[in-house]
Amino acid sequence: MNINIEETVKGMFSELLDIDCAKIKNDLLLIEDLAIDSFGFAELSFIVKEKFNFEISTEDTQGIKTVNDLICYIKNNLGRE
Amino acid sequence: MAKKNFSINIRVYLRDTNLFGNVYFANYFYWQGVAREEFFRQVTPDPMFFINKKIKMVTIEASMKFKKEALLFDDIEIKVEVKNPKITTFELIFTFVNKVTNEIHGEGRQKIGFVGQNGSVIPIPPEIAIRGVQYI
Repeated sequence: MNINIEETVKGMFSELLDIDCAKIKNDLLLIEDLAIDSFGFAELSFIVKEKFNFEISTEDTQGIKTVNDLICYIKNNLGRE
Repeated sequence: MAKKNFSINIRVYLRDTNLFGNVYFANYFYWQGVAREEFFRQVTPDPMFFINKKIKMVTIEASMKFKKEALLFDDIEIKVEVKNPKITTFELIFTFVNKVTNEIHGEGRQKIGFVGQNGSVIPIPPEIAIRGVQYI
């Protein structure tokens, strides 16, 4: 898949939170800094499914604390269905 | 697709006011609820839609910005619009307009989502998404 994952993930957060893409830094905490709630996680999960064709398992969401965690998770799971 | 408009009308009665003679702030949230019920009655295929489908609607956020006090016997139109639709959530915007002066008494906002039978977040039900999009 020929896409820039980091850029795509930041674009997802930008669209979800209606903030400038440049403000989405890799070390930002999803809950504490970006105020992502359970609906936000579900939304991200559906977007990941749409864009990368795999689902984030409920157990795995526990380990995704930062923007970078999500980028790494997608890189590690790309191609899995 | 032409945008559809939705609104309800209310009149302020003595029971709605406080010691100072204006509308008690919490009533705006009550009226948001009334307007929302009527809105969903319009956009769902049948009145028992949520119960039949075993879908729960969740109010994630609700707020009010107050602009001008409303007083006894004011006639107010509450306009409802859909904003910011995502996969799992959307917003309802409530504009409280005085029917005589056209002044805006306040603007409210709700962020709404849905959960399925097992309590997990689900995408906006297609029946609602298709009809709701006409009010954006």
